[in-house]
Amino acid sequence: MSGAPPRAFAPRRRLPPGAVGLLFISPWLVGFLVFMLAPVLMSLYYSLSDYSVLEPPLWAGAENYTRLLHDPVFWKVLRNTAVYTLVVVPLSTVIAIAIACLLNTNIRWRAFWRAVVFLPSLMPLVAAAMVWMWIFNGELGLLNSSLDPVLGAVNGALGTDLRGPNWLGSPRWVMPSLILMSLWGIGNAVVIYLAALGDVPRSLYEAAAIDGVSALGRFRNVTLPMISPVVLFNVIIGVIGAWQVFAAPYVMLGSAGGPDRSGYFYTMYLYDNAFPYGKMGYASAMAWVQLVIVLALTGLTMVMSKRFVYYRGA
Amino acid sequence: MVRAGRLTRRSALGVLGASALAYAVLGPRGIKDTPPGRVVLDYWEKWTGQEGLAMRRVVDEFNGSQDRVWVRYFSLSAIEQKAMVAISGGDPPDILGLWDFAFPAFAEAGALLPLDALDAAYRGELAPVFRDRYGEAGWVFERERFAPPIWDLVRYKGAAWGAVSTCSSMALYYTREAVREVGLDPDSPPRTIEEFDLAAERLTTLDEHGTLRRAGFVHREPGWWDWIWGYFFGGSLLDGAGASSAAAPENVRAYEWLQTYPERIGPSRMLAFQSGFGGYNSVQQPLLSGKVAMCLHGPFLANVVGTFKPGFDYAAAPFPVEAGIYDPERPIALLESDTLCVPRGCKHPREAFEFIAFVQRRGSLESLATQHAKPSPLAEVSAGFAASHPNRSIAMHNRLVNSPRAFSKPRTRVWPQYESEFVTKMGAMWDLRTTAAEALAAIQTRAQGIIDLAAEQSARRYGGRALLERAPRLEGSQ
Repeated sequence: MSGAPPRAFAPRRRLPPGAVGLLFISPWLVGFLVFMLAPVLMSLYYSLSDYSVLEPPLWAGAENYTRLLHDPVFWKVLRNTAVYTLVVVPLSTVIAIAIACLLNTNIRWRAFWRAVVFLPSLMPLVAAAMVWMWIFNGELGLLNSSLDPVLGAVNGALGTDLRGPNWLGSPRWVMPSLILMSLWGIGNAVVIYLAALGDVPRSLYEAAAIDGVSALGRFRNVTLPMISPVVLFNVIIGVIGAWQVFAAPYVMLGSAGGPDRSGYFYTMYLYDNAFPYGKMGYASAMAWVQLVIVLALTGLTMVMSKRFVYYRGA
Repeated sequence: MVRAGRLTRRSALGVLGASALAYAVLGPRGIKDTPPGRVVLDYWEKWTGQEGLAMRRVVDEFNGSQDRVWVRYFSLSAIEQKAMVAISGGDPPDILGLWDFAFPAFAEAGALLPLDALDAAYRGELAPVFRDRYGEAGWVFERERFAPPIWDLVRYKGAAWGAVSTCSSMALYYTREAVREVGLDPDSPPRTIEEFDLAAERLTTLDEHGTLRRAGFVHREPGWWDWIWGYFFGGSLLDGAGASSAAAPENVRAYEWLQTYPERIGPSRMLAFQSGFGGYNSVQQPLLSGKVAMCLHGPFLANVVGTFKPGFDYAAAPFPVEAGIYDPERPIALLESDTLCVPRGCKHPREAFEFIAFVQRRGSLESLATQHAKPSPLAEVSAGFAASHPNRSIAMHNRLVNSPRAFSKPRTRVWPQYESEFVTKMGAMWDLRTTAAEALAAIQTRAQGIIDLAAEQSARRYGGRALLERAPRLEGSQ
């Protein structure tokens, strides 16, 4: 008789610890490695190459990065995107918080108004851009038609000849138009703020009221600190989103970004370099610079947040 | 064993495995519409709608005409970008529908097989087949068959990189009724810039408040050719050596002339008026809606008329030129062409070439031209071509296609970037924020930098080897 135990009593083969977990996440893991990590690393290599997609990459060292420094269009899109981010993120944050506070009160038809605020963010961006193109139309647009009576009254009183601006046709008005349009999708942030507002303990408001704190004071000293982690989250997401703005200006202004490239953003120029211009290496360098900028801004926001953000559990 | 209320590892894996198996066995299947035993070709084309349908008919005719090859037609947006990725990834279609102006970028990168090489390899085999099967007396790629400018249009640096499928010649389109209204003769369109300016001025109408109601002409409608105006003054954007000549005196003269239009109307008023223009393929197209009386356009506008405003009384003529270079026998016009190419890595080059040759038959080319409302790329058209054509000015368009002074978009691989510079500066010229001379000088400087960089990169990569030396070769050819 051999020394092997009968089959029924053989010890079960054990998988190494964590193997089953890895097995379960393997579809995601494979997807991440193949479709995310590998392209990211390849783009780093391409950024150091002369690569047109149709031709194999040719090592070029830091040439793409050096050329960026001397490219006036690069600086133009960098400036445009920075201005857009600097205005859109604070503006949308303030307006979203204000709307959320309004919708958090006991107004009539509260659920209806909440849906109204959220609905536009469900609309596909390209469709929204088409609608906004007509709103901004210099001759027949809704915006100028609404301004006409006001400007007519001003012109009548002062003898001036003021007209509604050519929103998307004038380099001066393109950026304000795009900023205005960006507020269209504010509903997402409002919903998040509403959730955060609902989480602020009533007792704090009651205590503040007993102490005679005004409504503004309650907002400043209770509401804002309590929702500050959510504000931080939205600001970071907003900064990242603003640096990636593409679809709306591309649809509304065309690939050249409108008059004087006044609505030409970083990602649009990156895309143009990658495909229409056949400069994937240069576009990859732009993408890495963009990543560094976004990381730096996120890091800066996180550092600054230590002074402004209050974590209840901490 | 699965115990009630508890999911074991084994049962979870079992469920996952069973789901995967069920998906593999019962999941969606690709549509198999290909007859067995045929060589299947994938053909990517940019056309949709009516234009796509016209090419589908040709594809169907080809598929039905023989029993060896089957072409599958795919309509794609952003075809150049998708083709770039597919070719680079080694899995391109067998046939690719590109515009002729994509040749410099694709050919320089070795992404297309030279059509001459395919012709040399397969002509001997295919010419008798075409004679017997389709009754073609001569070979379809004979030079004499094509309008000379079209023959040149599909060639770049000494080789053909595609075969024409359809072509367009751009011309001045105008509303006959409006022209008649202001006391001009709709049968005598302006021939020179001076005559054109007079007509445009008379055709421009304002209402009692001074608001522009109809513009005689707006250079930025449809806005596809901001770079074109110098050509009507004898200019060009590349000199013989391939350097940028954007700031040449002829171009400066042309753009100074262009600036007189917003100057007369007032730039802000002009911009506001333009913003009310509808899209090209709509009833709001400015010529159809009466917002403009004249515009530079392609022959395909006739199909827009047919769809949205049948019976619209229009006519077309060669675009007027500066008086000093006017020559009625040699009109100046932009030509563009849709082409069929064989990309690098094509799996069935012989069969792809057979299909392309099929499209070069008079019947296919004229059928496509008619359905696209475009002129024929052939030197001579058949007797019934004009009679059945939807564009009433097709004879004039055919004349433009054969004109020795017809021109193409500048042939450089950096043209998209060069054009982008033009579009940007055109905005500043159009609303009079800069002078034509300043803007064109800036364009030239920037474009030259882009051209020089591309040349430097090409030299580094190919060490000065000629394009044809490094072009991809057919397997088995020398």
